[in-house]
Amino acid sequence: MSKVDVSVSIPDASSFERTVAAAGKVGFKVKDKLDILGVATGSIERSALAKLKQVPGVDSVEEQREVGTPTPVRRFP
Amino acid sequence: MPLATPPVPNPSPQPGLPGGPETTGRFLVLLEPDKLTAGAAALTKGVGLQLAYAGDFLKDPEGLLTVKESEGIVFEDLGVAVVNAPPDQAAAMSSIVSKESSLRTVEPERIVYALGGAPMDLSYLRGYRDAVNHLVDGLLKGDSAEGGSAALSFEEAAFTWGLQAVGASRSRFTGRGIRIAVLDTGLDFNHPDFIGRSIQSRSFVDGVPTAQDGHGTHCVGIAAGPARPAQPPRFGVAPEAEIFVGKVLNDAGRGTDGCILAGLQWAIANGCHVISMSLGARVLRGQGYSAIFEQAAQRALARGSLILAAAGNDSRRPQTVAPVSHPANCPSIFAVGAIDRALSVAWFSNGSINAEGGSVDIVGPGVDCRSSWPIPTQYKDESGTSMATPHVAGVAALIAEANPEARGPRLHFHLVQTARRLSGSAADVGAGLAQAPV
Repeated sequence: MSKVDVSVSIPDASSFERTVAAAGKVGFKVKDKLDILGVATGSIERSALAKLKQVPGVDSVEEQREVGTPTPVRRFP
Repeated sequence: MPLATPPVPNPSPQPGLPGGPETTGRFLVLLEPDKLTAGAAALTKGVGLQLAYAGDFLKDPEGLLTVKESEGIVFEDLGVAVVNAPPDQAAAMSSIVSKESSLRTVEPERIVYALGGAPMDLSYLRGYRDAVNHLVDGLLKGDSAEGGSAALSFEEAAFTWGLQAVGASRSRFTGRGIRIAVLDTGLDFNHPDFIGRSIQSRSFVDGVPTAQDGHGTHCVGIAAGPARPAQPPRFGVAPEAEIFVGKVLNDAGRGTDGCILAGLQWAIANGCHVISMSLGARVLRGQGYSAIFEQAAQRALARGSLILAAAGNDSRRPQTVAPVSHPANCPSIFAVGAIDRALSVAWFSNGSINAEGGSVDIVGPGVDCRSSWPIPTQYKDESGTSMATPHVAGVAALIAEANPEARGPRLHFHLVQTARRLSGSAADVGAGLAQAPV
């Protein structure tokens, strides 16, 4: 069993809460509900990703990337 | 789209009349810039038109060509609607335009031909653009006999070279009344240049927004450092902008998509007009953009927040050019590349490699840029698209102050329109060097 952090887009504002709740029923653990963006972030078992993508109202599911300061510029090569 | 119609000098025959230019049967309606929604509603109600919005096609610009003939299109950035009204509705439309304060003028859409006589289409527009770019590049290169492409010397006693290059040193605007968010590693709140300044802050990673790493402090300084720093020269583009510091990267300079999305929501909810993100993750050649960040950026634009992000430092020019990083590669996020003091693209700056939004939109100063650094160091020179991004974000704040209607997509439009054209390839420098309003 391995958990992955994911971002989920839910474009329809009127069904945002309902869709997040439905996502929870397939194992999505919500961290942040970003209603302005139409996005929820959280984690889920990798084995349940396919179910999450099929929840009505869910548009995109992306595994979260690690993001950082751009590659440091040390010197002219 | 046949919107680039040249003006018809008076008193030549009028479009649509015998002897006048050929027309398409459609009409161009000029909307009042601050009444786009009301203008579109008036057209819908008065002539029964169903209007699509060009802003809805940011992901797929060519999808505009599929809009049904029976519909009209509102180009929000241009303040123009192209509508397909039958001839018997032309008089009704003129009547509506004369009565509605949200509508300025209406005129028939003219047919424009390439010199060879072929009807204008996207391939013609692309060819025209490429030819003009080629011509300008050639002329500017020919103009550089005096020593490189616009090699400039900067005296930095009062202002950094970056502030001079973007024109902030000559601008009467300061960013007053404009909210600018810097999503990064935080800020050293004990730095003498920020003590006493009203700053909103929040951490989206473990810990407080105070920065141990200097990256965030450097970026905040460039975007909105003070007019009179403890030690000159001045390095802050918009010294009176309201600062919002979102710590979305930890002190090692690392974070996740989730941290950044949370920071974006916070900045948008707080009405930040400009959101500067000197961060990213590498993408591969041919890799697409994040649909989730693109949706977030579109929501931000709709609420009047413009997001800028660093293009990335992964190139090793001239040998290799790396593609624009995530999330700057989203079509609705402004990707910022870096230039040096000669106004040439920086050797590390990523370029327009990938399709679908993966282009550099604009550039800012990004080599040997002085700004604030956590004490006791206090000031430091740094290089990167990380430095270019807050330069452009600061310029955006000045433009937003100078043009109260310039928010969201219109601020994007102003930034592009006022950028200084550079001799480098558009694939490297986009629209050119961001310029502050005088």
